[in-house]
Amino acid sequence: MLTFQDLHIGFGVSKGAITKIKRKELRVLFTSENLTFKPGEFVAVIGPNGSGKTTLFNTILGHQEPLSGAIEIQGKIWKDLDKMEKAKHLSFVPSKFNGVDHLTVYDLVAMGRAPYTNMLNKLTEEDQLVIQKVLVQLGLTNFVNKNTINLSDGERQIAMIGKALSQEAEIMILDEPTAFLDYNNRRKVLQLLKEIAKVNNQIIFISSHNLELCFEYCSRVVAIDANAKQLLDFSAPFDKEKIINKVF
Amino acid sequence: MNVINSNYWKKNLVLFALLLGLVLYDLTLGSFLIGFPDIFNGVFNYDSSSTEELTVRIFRFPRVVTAILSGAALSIAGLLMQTLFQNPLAGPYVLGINSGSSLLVAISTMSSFYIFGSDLGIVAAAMIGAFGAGLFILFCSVYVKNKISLLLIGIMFGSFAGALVSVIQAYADPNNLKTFMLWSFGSLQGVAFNQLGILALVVAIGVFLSVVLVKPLNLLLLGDKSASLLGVNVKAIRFLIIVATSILTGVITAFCGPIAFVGLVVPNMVKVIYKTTNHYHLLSGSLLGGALLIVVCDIAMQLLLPYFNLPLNALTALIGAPVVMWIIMKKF
Repeated sequence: MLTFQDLHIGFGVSKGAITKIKRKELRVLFTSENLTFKPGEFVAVIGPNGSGKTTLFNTILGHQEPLSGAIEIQGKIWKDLDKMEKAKHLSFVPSKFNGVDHLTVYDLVAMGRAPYTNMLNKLTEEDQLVIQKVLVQLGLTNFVNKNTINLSDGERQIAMIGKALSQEAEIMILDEPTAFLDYNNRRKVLQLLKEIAKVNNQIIFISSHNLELCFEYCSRVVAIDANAKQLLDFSAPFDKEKIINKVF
Repeated sequence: MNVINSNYWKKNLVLFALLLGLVLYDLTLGSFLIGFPDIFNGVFNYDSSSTEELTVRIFRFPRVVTAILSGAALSIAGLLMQTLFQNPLAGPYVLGINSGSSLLVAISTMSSFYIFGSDLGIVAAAMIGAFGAGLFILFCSVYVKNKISLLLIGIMFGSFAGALVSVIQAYADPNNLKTFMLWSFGSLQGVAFNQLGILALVVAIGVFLSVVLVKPLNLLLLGDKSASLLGVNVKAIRFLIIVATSILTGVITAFCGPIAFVGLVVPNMVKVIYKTTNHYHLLSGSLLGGALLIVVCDIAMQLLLPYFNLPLNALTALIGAPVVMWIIMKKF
């Protein structure tokens, strides 16, 4: 379970960088009321460019801190957890991964076990079972020995989702997972994520500009209203026109 | 996948067998040939009345062991840098780490600051120089995202340090200057038998530190952000990588001079041969491959000795520069 408590999202803007005294001015992008996300929810974060989708994700990922308020996971204050602890609760898939030469799909998925393995990164039997399960669930069993650099964009995206899945974290965040995919692969990835959320009982967040697909596949939409600087919460079934009028 | 993968161990074994054979051959080479019994006695059971055994003890054994250690250390340093900067062209020489060492060695051998006068002092000076240069490049890498630009900064830093060395040379005592010049050609003869222990120990510390870093090194391949989200403390790991690199580069530079390109060439070759990203295998491969390359260079130098005296640094550059061009054409 993930909770936003009176969250103010934004960042400090350095003013007067040329003069010697740097003053930090806080710019609030948006605020959120208390929101709770439960396992099994597939949440889309939408909003215009520059409204703060990435900033929200960066805040959840711990790359920056909220201006005020707190994020709680399983009742624990998020920013108090150490890196290892966080890696067991939260996994992340960037919008584009270009592959690494000689890195196989199996090794990539196995990287998700890093928070659990010892210093020598030895995979235990349990780790191998998890990886095997993930490979089967994502239909990657024929790709295990393929070089990540030779995969298609869609296959590589799914392999990265595999890495995140083998992390066995209850929250998965995907930054624009469909941005670089064609029509078929977009549907395939979103369908896959929808099933994962249900079957694995995980909370999945995606950000996207593809509103139609979000409304079709997601169970919940969180929209950033840049004018009112507020986070709006909608559940399925969605009143598409109302949401679009309010947000865009 | 298991840590121990028989396929990679076979490759290690082949490299090791090759290395062992060439090392034995290299021990026989020099100004005159020495047979295996004398070599054995010279190393383990030496008798100062025999010229052969004395030669083995004083010249050949230290030379060959230094070749092994310097190749292994520089290659591992290169591998660490390539992973740290996500750049196949990174290496201690190209990024100016060697130049940092050279500068401090120049200061300690030729200037009137005799803080680092002794043998160990020079080792310390070289390591501090390497560490300083490493931190500088690390600092630059935060601001310069372009891979080629970072290399240019490394090269410029090398030129800058080289210019400072020239200034020191201009005012140096002729004897010190000669010592420094010979040192800067790169040589495997500079280590005495009783210094081998120190050299081996320091290299072992550097290698051990690299082995400890294997897991974060593997994860760094996905980029800093992804590694961080898998539980890697990226800042601390970067710092430790620079420490390991400066230990390995510094000690070799102190004893053998700035040896060019080995750290760049060997890891790239190893990646082609081993076809993996797992740093266990890349480390063991670089260790063996690096030792192999310098031993081969030494054999070439010894065989050419009757005709002309080829400095080590010239030989490695002759091999290294074309490889760099090949990588640039292939990957950029």
